[in-house]
Amino acid sequence: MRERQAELAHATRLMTLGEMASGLAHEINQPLATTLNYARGTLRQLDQGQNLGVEKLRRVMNAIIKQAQRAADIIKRLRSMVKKAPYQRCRFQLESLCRDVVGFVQRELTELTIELEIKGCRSVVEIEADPIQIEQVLINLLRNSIDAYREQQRPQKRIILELIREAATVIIRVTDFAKGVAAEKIPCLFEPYYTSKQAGLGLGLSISRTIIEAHGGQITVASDGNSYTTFEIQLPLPESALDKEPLVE
Amino acid sequence: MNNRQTVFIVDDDIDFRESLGWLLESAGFFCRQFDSGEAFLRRYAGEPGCLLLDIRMSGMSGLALQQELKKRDWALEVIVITGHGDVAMAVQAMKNEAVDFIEKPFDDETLLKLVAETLQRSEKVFAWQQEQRHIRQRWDTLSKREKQVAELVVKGAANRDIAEQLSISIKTVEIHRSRVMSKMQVKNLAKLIEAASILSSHSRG
Repeated sequence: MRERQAELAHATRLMTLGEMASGLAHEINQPLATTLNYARGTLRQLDQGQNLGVEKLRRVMNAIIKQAQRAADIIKRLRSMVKKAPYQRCRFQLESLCRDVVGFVQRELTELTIELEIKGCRSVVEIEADPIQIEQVLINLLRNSIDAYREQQRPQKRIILELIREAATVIIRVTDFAKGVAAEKIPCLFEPYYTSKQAGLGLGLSISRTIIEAHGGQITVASDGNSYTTFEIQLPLPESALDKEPLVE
Repeated sequence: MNNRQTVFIVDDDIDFRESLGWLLESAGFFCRQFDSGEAFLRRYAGEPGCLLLDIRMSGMSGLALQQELKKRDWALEVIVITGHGDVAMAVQAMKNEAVDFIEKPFDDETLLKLVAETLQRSEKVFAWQQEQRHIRQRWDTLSKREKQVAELVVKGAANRDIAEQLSISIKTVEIHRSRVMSKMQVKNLAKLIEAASILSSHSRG
């Protein structure tokens, strides 16, 4: 069962990445273009016989390294998503995972001028889960919100990603203010093959629910039918984390 | 080379922007950088040069900035930088009268050549715009009657016809006419006609 779920999760992940390919290509293109500018600009000055000085050269080299690293990081993230990994639980910080996830959808956010606000907890929240699968769920929710703004023009476009710690659980909320979901459609949302999108297969939310439930949590949705949609995920915190007093940042 | 002209860079990605500045400066161009369309509009005061503009930015988009420049009647030439495959955006930028667009990552020779050519053209456009401004200032010193006379003179009317049309004496027409010539700082009729045609054309040269 675990294995089948992991396989299905992997398959839908590949599909999502396929849809996001052009945006991700841009994310990699950007640091490459930057690296080329630095290297060519430097070569040009050296060819002209200019003495650049060690300090200046060092600055440029550092800039080049930073950019190459930026491209490498994106590829590393991509590979972890593409890799067919068995279900793997480990301990990780939820907030830093959220920030990684934003990297995947940054391009789409910029393109549509959507402002994404991450509201973290006061304390560091660590959960025990399969990080790739949790990432997948969050990417799915964020992309649903982004798509909602594609269909519904709003002068102000905001998505809020909120982390709340409550006793033995952590709550992750993703809220957009695009168009809401009609009350009669809410029960169908998590059904497989139910979709409101032309290009969609209707697997995103159904696999998200499977993943969250496999982690002992639950996912729900709330909406007033026209001005907002909130997806809420509840995940149990690992027992050992409960003993500790929350660390204030 | 182009020591009076500036290459303005507007891009919200600080790393890319600075690398572009580095590349352009390595080829001897003088650059000024801005992280948004809004920041550029706050600081730009009509200096000659050209604008390297990222089309996709958070906040004011490149396309919106282009339209704003047009609205303010600034002659700054715009080269648009697009990501790979941004065809629709590139088309829109060209419709907004961009000089050209260039896809990231680009060949440095191509970019530097394009910038050099654009600055060369821009110099002419700015000179022309400045001349138009000077002529406009002189024109504004004419009295209402002098403007009427000038308009008729430019249309080729003889002093006699002008006198008749405005119901004034030929002698008075002659006085107005010579005032027009001296206030507009032109030596002959041909120069006056040229000034009038520059004045009446609004758009870029």
